[in-house]
Amino acid sequence: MKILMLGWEYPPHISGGLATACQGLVESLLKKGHEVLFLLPKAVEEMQSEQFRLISASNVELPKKKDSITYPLLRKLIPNVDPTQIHNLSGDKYNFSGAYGPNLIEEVYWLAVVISKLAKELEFDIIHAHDWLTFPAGIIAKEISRKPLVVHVHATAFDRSAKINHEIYEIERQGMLVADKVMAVSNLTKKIIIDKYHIDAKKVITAYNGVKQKDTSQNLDTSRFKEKIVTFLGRITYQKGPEYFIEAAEKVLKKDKNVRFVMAGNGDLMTEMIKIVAAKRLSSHFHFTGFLKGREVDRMLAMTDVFVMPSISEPFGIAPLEAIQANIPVIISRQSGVAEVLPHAFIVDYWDTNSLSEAIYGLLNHKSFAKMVKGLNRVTLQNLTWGHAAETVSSTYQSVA
Amino acid sequence: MKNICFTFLVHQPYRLRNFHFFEIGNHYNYFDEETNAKIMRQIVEESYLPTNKLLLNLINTFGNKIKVSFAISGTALNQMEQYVPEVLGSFKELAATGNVEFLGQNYSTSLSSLKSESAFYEEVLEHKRLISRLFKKRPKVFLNTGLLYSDEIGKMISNLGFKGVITEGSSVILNGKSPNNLYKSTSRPPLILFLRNTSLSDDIALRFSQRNWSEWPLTSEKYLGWLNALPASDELVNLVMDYGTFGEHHKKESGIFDFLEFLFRHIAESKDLKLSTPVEVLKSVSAKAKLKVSKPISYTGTDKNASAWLKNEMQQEACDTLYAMEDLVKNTRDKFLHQDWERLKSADHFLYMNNFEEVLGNLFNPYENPYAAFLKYMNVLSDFQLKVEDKTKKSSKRKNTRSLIKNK
Repeated sequence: MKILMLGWEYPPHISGGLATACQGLVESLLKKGHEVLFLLPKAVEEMQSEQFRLISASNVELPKKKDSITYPLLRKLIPNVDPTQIHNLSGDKYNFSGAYGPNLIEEVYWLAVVISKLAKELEFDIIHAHDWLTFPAGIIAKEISRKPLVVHVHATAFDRSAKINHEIYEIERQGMLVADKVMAVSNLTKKIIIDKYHIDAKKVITAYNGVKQKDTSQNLDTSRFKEKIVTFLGRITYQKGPEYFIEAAEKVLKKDKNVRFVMAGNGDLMTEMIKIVAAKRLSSHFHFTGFLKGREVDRMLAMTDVFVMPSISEPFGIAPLEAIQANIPVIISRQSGVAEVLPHAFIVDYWDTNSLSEAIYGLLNHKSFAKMVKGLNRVTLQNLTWGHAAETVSSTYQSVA
Repeated sequence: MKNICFTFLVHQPYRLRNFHFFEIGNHYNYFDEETNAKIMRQIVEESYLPTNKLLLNLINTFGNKIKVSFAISGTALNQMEQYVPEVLGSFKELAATGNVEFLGQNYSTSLSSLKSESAFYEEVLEHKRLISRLFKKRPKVFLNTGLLYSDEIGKMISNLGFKGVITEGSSVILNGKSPNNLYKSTSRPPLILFLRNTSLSDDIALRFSQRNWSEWPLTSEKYLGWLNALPASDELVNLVMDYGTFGEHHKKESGIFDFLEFLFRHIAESKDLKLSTPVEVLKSVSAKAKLKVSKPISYTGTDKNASAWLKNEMQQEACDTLYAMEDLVKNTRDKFLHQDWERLKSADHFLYMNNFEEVLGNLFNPYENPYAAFLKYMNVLSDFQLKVEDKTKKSSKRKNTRSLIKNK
């Protein structure tokens, strides 16, 4: 099948898990013989092979004429953007940043405008849109091409902040309503889609993410500290539950001073977390690294003895899978979608910092326990491939094509 | 006459309470009194009391034709004394009839037979003293935790003066021979080996209320037919099962009590079968051949060896840590530390840490998963270690002061 895939990022442009997920899925779809046209706002470099084409929307000329479908639909979907007020027009192209900046909603709008042109020019059998950012584009593509639309929900407005953004919620809901099938990255997300977006349960399919099987035999630097290291790796935002990590750290350190805690990543709660750590007088055993890039992540993991993901709401969460791959025992919250595919991970409720600290302490102090958690999870991981994910996605395509 | 030996296992461990690692060093109580009392009361009411009553009635009617044996662990007896003393009275009544034999055991249903010879001897003797105090009986035949047995374990049992031992009629050791005869161990003097008839025992213990079993419903007549159909060369049938089989694993509504009552009535009236206890069998039946058992066998888990308790790393670490403390605990000569140590040895704690895949049946397992079981156990063990160290330091200080005074 020829798939028109709409996404916001693709490696090497990475800001969260979305790029990695898209790549993993695309590569496996290609192996299954599908062809993929992947449109994103801005690609570092366009790519083209026999089966795969990466198209940067920044390089696409905007349509000369307003068609009768696109603008009325967009007025409805994104009423707050005024198409006569274009900020980033350079010549006859829109200059996307492809980031998640202040112009985000405007870029979402213009990506849809770009697709209104491409949908007429390109040949494809199905449209696959990743997350709300590309849902307006997906809807337009479907309207113009009359091809089926599958939307893929990696996160919802409910996972992003405690306060729901209604504009985004509405875009998500419209995308799910118009779509022929909705794919959710976990049952947790599927439930949100059914309960909070009121989408027909029959239309929603769980398609778990996979993890790239990689060789972990290479020896990276290990820790320079004599203490054991417990790591939180991810955006420091409300949904990731960073304060629970700090609370657990405090409890562990009361019992065992031979530990250092690392919060790796950045986010809007970082300064607040630094303040909390200082107020609790933990700073000598608690470190913030800021945002880590590719190889730095690997080095951080190589130093880590226990990996913790205490997310309050995590649709899936690929980070623990990478930690397992690096042979680290992981503790994840029951409120993480990835818990559904890791029956042998140590699972706690995010608010239960007593159990969390106990598990951290146990993994640091009992070799056999850490070994069991590591070993059992690695076995699980072998079956958690993008190949399996692509199979689910493939059969979803079949069901609507 | 074929001997039918029913042996009922009665054991309850002291389950741990939710002991958090913050509490390590505080030396609080380790055991969940409330849960333990609740479970003991439940099983006593549903199973032990009604079954004891049934057996007493049968003995009153049929006299010496009704014979059974019991293997009751020390931790079970202690909890009965503590929480439901009336059930102890009922077991004493059974003991007083003279138709009931009590088997030797290690005190807490521990793994000491695999881990420590000295701990094993102590436990068995302590259990012997308890049985003698409560029931005025001296066990002659032994039954180890989960029917664990090997040549080496046999040697220890023989050293303790037992004449026989009951173990699993495992196909691994039988090699086509019948489990329904007596065998000799390789030790000197040889122990007599009683082998549990696996399928006939499990027909009652596991399958009785399984509706998808092809033999369901199992009636006493049908079961009697199976016993009668055994070849004439089979001299005894050992039916060994948890006592909770009656009323707890199979609830009253399943008809298990009627089954037991009528089966016993039929056997009591039979010309070809008779109910016996192991000691009686020792007098009337002689052992056929020697059986070599080089690796431990048991009736627990899928592999029927020690792996249900000691397969994974967590189980091994927990168990090794526990037994590494043996001498320290002994040297404290502290009654309470000794009691904690006994209770921590129950093999159940290690069974709870068994891998996720194994089906462990009706254990009253208090844990969500093996990790939780391990963490709680290790928290308690860490605290216990500190307690023992404290005590050791204190007593060595005292000794030092004493010797100082002497020297002056």
